[in-house]
Amino acid sequence: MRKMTKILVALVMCLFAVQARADDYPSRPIRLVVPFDAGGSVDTIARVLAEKVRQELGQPVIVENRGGAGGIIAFQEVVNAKPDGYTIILGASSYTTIAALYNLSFDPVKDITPITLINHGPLIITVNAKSPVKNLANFVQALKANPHSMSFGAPGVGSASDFSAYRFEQASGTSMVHVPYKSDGLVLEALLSGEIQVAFASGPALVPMLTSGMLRAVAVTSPTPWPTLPNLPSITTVAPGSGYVAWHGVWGPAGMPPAVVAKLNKAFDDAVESPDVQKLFRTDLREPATSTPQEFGQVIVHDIAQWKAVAKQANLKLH
Amino acid sequence: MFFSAFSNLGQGFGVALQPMNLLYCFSGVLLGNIVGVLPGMGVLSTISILLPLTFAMKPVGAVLMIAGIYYGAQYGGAICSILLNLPTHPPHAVTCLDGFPMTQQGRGGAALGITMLASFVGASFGITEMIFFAPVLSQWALKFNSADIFSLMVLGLLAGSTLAKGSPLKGISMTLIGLLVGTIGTDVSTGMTRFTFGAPDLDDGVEIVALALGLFGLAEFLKSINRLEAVEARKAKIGFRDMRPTRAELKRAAFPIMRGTLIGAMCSLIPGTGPTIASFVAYAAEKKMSRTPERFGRGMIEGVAAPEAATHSSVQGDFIPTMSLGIPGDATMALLLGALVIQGITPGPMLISEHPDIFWGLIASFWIGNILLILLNVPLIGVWVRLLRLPYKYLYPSALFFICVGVYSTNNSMFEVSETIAIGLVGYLLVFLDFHPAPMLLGFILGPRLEESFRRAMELSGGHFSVFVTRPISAVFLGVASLVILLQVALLLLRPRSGISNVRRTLGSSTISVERAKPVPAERKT
Repeated sequence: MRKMTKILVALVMCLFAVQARADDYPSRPIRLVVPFDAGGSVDTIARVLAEKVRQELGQPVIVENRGGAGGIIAFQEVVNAKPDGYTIILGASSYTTIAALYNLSFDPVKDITPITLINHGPLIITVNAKSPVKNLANFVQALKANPHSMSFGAPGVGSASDFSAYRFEQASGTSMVHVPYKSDGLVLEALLSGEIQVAFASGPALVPMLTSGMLRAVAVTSPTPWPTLPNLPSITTVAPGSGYVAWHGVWGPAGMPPAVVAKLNKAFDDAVESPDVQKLFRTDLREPATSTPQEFGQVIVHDIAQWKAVAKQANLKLH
Repeated sequence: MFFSAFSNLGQGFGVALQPMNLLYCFSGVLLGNIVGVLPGMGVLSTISILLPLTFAMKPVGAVLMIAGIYYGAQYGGAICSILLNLPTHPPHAVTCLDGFPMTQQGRGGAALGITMLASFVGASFGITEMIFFAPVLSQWALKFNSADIFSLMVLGLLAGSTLAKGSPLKGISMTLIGLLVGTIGTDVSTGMTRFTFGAPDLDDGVEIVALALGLFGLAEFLKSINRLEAVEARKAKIGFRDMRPTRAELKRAAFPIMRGTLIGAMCSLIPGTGPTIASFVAYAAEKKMSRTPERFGRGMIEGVAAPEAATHSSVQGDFIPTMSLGIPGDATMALLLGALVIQGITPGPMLISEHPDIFWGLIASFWIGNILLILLNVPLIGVWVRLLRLPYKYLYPSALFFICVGVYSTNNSMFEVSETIAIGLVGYLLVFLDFHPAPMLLGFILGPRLEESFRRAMELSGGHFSVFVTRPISAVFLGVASLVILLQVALLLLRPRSGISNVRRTLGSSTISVERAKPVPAERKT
């Protein structure tokens, strides 16, 4: 009996040894962790991309939702996973805000292997259609005349939207009352009801509200006007250096074989090229993005450093 | 407006009755129904597993199927609550309170029959509400702000205080424990975590499914372990002739169903509420209105009918903000919208005018789906009741297994399975000491919303308490709440002596009512 077990163990080990070789990769299903609950834009994108990557690599890509604690549980799980390319994560730029704010049990830069960027897009500074604020100049003027006269709705303390607003205030010399909500949807509802006056919004629910005239867009957070929204000025015109572009990207645990990383990088980059994926991104006001793993790594390092500086200046501290 | 609604609805039926769409609707409700009965599968995980299938479908079919799973599961959800005291979906936790005692008295089949009727009436009202008032109502819902929601929650807690049976002091202490458990996790206003002891798994608080299944299902299971004979005896009492509700029961359930339906319809429109709160409020209202409140919790048909009607009316009403604003009310709705986005359709305020086939087809499919569910479930009641004939030693362990799978599947988290077990042990201790879990669940649900909306209202008003009385909606809720308190106090003060004798009479009649309740099934058998 014991001999049998030993033989079995040896056989299984052989199997793994074979699988670790990159030219055979992938030889079994790939687990794509999503650090959010099912539903919502990141989950939707992950499911569509999983299908495309499956066609490309010939192995099923299984989306696993591990929401909770702003994604920390999922980040941890991926860092602790075997770096064989069978456990990867599709996350958002919230990874960098969390890395800047919390004392994590792992190093957010050294303990991961960046794979590729998937898309990027600005946050949209949005007000209610009935608001007296008509444009960016108006907005800054009103805030300068009466500091704290406007409430800003954030989808959570220390979210990218919250951080981005702090940075805007710091760079433009203005201040707003930050009111945290549990989700993007609740922020939009509060904006519609007039409970808050301004949001740095994103997400698929936003676009139809702008086109139907319920909400008004004032500016974009990207350093230059966004190609699909040429009429909106960048906030950097009034708050120099406060440009911010949110992203989605794929990474895995540290120490993944370069050949596996290259294969995944290509598979995701190709998936992003397909027209229906691009159409999906645009509902969220995002543009497809491709990058080398190194470029993506630099984006992560840059964003974390930038948010740390903002948090320090705004005196934001958690944990 | 009304006439156009009818012609649109006609067009919707044209869409929903196309053979393929009918098939999708049917498979959706059938799957939802099965998922609802099995404690092991969550609606959310079922839909997310099926989502890739919808990529290849037409948008209408995809939406009909996903929506069918969602409301179909609600029909199934009540079955385990009534027969096994297992609330697989939180809105049905209240149904346990009187549904399970009915089963113990051999009237489980009747409770299920009433549930199906209540579900259908509730859902029909919710759908009608959606047909005629969806755009108006979504505007109305936007009038509520944080101060109003706070005042509404105060009223809800007050109404909920009647949930307790037995000692009021024990009821209040359980509500308070519920409020405290509700504070576990990340505080929305500051982003700090509370009572998590450094475990990131607790950052989002205690999972409501774990709490409901632990307090009701698991605690009940532990309680029965030492009383095998009692359980076996109970089983023998289930007669198949008792499956249909009696005329008297139907009569007693009629008004509670209507009241529950209205409460559910209201709750679906107020942001931050939903089916779970609706069912709790409906139960509390019934108990408050009843001439024999002391009999609630011992198998009152009213206590099954009202919350079930409220749940279903609220579930259908939940589609209103989702479809007319494009803002999902919960995670399942978010998946439904996600399916539309994948199909290249942007949900939002223009969905109704841009894609009338989807909106009206969906509404027509609600009717078809609900009728299918009735046709499916009524003949099945006998089968479900027969489940109880399974020997106890197989039934409960397998239910326990499904509980674990079910809790795991809500967030793919092993931590939550152990959470359920821990809650179950505490729940057993509480039940053993005669503390009832329902007020705790209510405190847990209302507490976080109460706190969040209070603090937000304070932040927005710059710390002025006056917002709660200067906003008309909030003032009305607080006014009603203080009126309720004043009335109670006045009753006590005006009739101090009769107050005491009242208590005595209540105690007296409750013992009588228990004695009376027991012979009922026996009478029917003869």
